[in-house]
Amino acid sequence: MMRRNALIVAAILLLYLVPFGLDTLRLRVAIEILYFGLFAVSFNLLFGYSGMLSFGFASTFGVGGYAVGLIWKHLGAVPLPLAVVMGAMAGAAVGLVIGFFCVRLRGTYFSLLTLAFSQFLFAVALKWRDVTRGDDGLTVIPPDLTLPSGFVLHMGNALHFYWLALTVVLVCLWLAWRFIRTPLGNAALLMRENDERAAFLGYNVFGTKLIVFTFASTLAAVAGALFASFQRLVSPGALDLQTGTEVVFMALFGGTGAFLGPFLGTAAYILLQNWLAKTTEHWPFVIGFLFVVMILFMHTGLVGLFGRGGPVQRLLRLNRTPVEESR
Amino acid sequence: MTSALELRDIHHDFSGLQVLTGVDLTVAPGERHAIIGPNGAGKSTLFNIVSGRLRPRKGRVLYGEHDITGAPPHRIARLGVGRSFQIINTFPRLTVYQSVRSAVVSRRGMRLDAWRLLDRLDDVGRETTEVLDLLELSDRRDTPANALSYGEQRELEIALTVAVRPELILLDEPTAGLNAEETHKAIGLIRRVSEGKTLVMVEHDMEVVFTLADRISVLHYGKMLASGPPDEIRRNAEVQRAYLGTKHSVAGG
Repeated sequence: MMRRNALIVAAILLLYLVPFGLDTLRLRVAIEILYFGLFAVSFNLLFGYSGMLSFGFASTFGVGGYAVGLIWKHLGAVPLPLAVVMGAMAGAAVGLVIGFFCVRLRGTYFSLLTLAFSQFLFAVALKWRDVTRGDDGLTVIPPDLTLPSGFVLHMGNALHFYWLALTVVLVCLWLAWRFIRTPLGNAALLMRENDERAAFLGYNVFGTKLIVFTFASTLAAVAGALFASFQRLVSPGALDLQTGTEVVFMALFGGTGAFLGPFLGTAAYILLQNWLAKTTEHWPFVIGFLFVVMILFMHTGLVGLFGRGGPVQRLLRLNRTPVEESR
Repeated sequence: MTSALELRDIHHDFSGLQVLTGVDLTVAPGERHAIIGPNGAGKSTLFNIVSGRLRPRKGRVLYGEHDITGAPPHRIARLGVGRSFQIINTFPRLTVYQSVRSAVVSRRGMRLDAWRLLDRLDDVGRETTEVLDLLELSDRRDTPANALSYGEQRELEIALTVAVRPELILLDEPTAGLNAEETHKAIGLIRRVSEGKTLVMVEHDMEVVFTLADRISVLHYGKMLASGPPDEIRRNAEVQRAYLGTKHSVAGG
């Protein structure tokens, strides 16, 4: 336990120091991994833990992005952490409304209704030009942040933004990690496993699912807020179908059975995509092919492939004698 | 004294097919009550109506002071009605411990607790262990439900039902598919967990019925044919003709 805590602290420190080994271009990729990673983890709270496959999860991601954009446009220099919290609340509100209609449904019907809502929000973002500026996108201008120590974090500075984003993402991951270990988080598992039986044990299925849906939406909005702050622009693309399905792929790619699986999947996906894009213009074809292979042969994702008892580990152990194995 | 469970003139049909046509039933507190009847008599439908899975077309379900007709399952469960299922209905990928603990959490009203860590709630853990001990499932505590043997899954089914400490326990064919030895074990188990509670069970195994039940009701094509103590039911000519005498020997008698 002590050793595990020490390892976690060391890993976190290392994460804060990562930027010193990266050039600006790579640092920007690292930041992208941070917020998309959070997005994928929050998606997995819904899918992997609670058994609800949303194809419209980009909705609240986009809402978070538009929320901070509008906050800075109309309310002035609200500090980024506060703006992110407000964006999260906007995401929670939208998640609550969408969830209210969707979580009554199961399986494919649930997925399709989430998709419908996300298409609806996409249309709103596209057409309500007075507020969202349509497909030109809304410019997002996060103000510089002065820390209590007097240190100023410049939002245009990738290094500073990385630290800020890392802090926000770590807090959210901690909240999510904690959540699934509480009785309510356990109830989410019951929803995935057998919601009907859970009802006969006294669990309110609708209420539980709605809370989980709202919570996951809130975290997705935080990810979207960071995304918009970093890109300095949010356009309808943030809540379209492609963003909604990309997160599904990132989560599946990493493995939905482990808490950080989707995060690893995101990192692998983004790095792979960047590398492929440099190598061939047909990169979407390669990614698509990979997705098909994943779905057919590796349900457990990268975590299942490299994790404990996975095929890679078994392969590495081939040389050991059975005696060693049994120890 | 009010009855623990009272059904008044329950009617139900499935798209026109009459399944229950005016069922009355009174179960006294602390009684072990068995409902028997041929396949298709409507026994499971009756259970589904009592536990909130179905809303009757007509009639009332009274649980003590409460009218629970058509109430949602989680409300009925919270009032102290626990039910098991004829077809195994557990949480496949959760371990025995996790499953039973979920029921304990519910009983303690901590379902919406989003702050305390479940693993650190010692009293929840202790209570879960007690239930596992009572049902002799302790040595399987870390086995996922879908990796249990069929007999063990039946035990888990009962463990989940009683872990919420219901006042009224509804068991839907608790010994379905068990062999003689397992059935014998199940009888002891059911007796233990229903001590001081009200028990209503649907059961096909006449040994189980006549060993455990204080009262027996016979459901025959949508109506209660008879209701009374085991001896009376065994002697009842109508019951023999409809059910006992024809297909089943009166085992245990």
